[in-house]
Amino acid sequence: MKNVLITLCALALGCPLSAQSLEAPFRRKGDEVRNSFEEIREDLQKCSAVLYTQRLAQGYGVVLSADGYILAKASEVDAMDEELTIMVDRKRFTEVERVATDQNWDVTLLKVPGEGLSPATWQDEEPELGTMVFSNSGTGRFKRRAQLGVISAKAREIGGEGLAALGVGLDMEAEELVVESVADGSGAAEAGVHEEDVIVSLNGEKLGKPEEFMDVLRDLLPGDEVTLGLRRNGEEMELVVTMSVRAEIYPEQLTRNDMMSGEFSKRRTNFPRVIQHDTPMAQRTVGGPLLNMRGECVGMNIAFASREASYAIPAKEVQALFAKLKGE
Amino acid sequence: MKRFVGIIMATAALATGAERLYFNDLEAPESLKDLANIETALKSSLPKARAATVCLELGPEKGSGSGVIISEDGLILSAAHVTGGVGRHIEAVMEDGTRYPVKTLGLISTSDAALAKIEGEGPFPYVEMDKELGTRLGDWVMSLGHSGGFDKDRGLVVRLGRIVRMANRTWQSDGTLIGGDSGGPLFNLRGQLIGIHSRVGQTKGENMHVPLEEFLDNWDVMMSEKFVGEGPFAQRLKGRLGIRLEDDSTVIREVVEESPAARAGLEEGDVILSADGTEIEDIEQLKAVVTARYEGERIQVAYRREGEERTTEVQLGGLEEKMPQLPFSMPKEDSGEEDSEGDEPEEADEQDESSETSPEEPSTETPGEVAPEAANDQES
Repeated sequence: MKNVLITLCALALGCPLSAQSLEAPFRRKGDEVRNSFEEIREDLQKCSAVLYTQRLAQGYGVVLSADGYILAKASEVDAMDEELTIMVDRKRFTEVERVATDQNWDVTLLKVPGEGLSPATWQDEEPELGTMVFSNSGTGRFKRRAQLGVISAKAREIGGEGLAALGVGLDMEAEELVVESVADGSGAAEAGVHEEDVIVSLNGEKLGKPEEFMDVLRDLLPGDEVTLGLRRNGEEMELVVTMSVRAEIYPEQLTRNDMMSGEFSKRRTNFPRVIQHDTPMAQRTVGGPLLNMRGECVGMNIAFASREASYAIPAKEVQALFAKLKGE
Repeated sequence: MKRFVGIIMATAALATGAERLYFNDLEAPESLKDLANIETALKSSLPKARAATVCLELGPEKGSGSGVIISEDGLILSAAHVTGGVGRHIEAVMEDGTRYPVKTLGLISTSDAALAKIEGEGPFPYVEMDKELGTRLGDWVMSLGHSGGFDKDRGLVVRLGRIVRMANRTWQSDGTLIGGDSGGPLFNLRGQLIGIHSRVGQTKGENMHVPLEEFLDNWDVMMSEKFVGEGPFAQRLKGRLGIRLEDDSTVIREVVEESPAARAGLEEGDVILSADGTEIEDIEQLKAVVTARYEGERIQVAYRREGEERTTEVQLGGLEEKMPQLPFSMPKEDSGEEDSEGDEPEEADEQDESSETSPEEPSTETPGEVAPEAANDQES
């Protein structure tokens, strides 16, 4: 009776209900929730490779074969200048061979002298919207956390302006291809292209409109060389220019959503095809496998695009890339 | 004893007609089987939920948000900071790209609730609302929305989470939202609407929603096109007609295209006689009358056309249709990764540092109304 009275008083006074809060272990990322997919965590641990420089975990890779082929995110591996060591499950490898890279997909094939490793088992069919998926969270010496999410949008190509850039801005008003600006540190700047130079040919081909010129450039990759025919002060000349990484010479304009996201992968555009999921990612958790509830690998995490979107290369494409890069 | 409790719970469920999904009553899923059941529930709720979720495009350079259709005739629930005001004409985009004109109805500017309606022939796909208000802390939920704006190749984006906090007029879930999701639907895993996305905090786990109860409590006032409260989610704008008069008379020189006056049928050459019950003799007087009222309100305008006196009802537009600029805090480093040796970093639990999730604004400053007017070229 006393209790009832107290309750009524509280209501009468219009006391706001106190906020209820779910304790951290029971939240989506919490330990109690993680315990329910411990089996998947074990599967994930076996087919994940952890990339270290100076004993610091820098990223993940997917174990592709028992003898130690590993696929990792190229733009992240490239940034690891120092000696790379790799841990698969509990085995540490200090001999790491960088076999080959595919820039379109931003993947690098690595090889360690492995034996009897447990490679990913594949689910070739692309998972449908709402399918539960699991990927790596932080790295530890013996145990890595896994976290759950769902396939959150349709599989698709992620476009962009192209990976490479020459480093020249053209005067779009002019009749000819007049260089209006040269980006600092670009291949064009290094080769000695100047403002007000007129571009007359590309790889020996005469050019007309800016669109024509840009169409040719769009498909090039960073590191590719082009020969520019130029006219400067009435004199014709040729310069060989190395294409630059677009993102390095033209920093991205941050949107409000980028600011909300805080952190995201440096390379998060220009992928031929990705599946999207909402498993929380971070710089250092990209590159590993994405598993379904049966422990099968549905893709390789390739970018942490924003606060709510993570991208993975579909399983079929990962296998095709392995076959291609191994042959190179 | 345990069995006894079970029976009581079952009876209670029958009594209210709201049968709860069993996994919502577990503190946490206990096995892969429980997770599989969550996945199955989510997948079976998705088709209807997707069909009824729309992107709300606010106009050129004004960004977009999301919304959800809850009736066959096209009533939409969204957020006040997305619709922005009463009587605005915006557009809904379905996942397949089909577009419909939408008019915004009332809103609660203090809690971020808003209604809107498709202006067109139904029937439209819609979702059921959880009018029983059966959601409890820890329930598994799915968030839908057009994150970052409409993208036909991508479609809308679904996220899974749990209800992690329930306060009076705000719920928090840990399904991650971003700009463009604002106004989008939060569902239980039966596919019933339980809330509308409002804003986010600094970490990925802080995503705020307006609970459905807030909409149901304010249903009639929103249906009657009222702007309730003084922000912070929407600012009341002074009224606007969208006409210019000749100098020294009340003859309409120009009716701005798609303006409130144009929609009410006023034309160039009409002579304004009175507005909102006040006789009008010049533009200043008209301005005073119109700006004494607010966007979305309706006034009677008497005018003479071809010697005949007529009256029309105008639903006023708003002067300076600007987005409310809420304080926007930069997110702190939320790694999304945890040091496995340490404890889980505590997700901040409070809402005070939150920022709006949208409307997905263009990266440049949002310009005000187009075409600045010349000084003597006053519009009212």
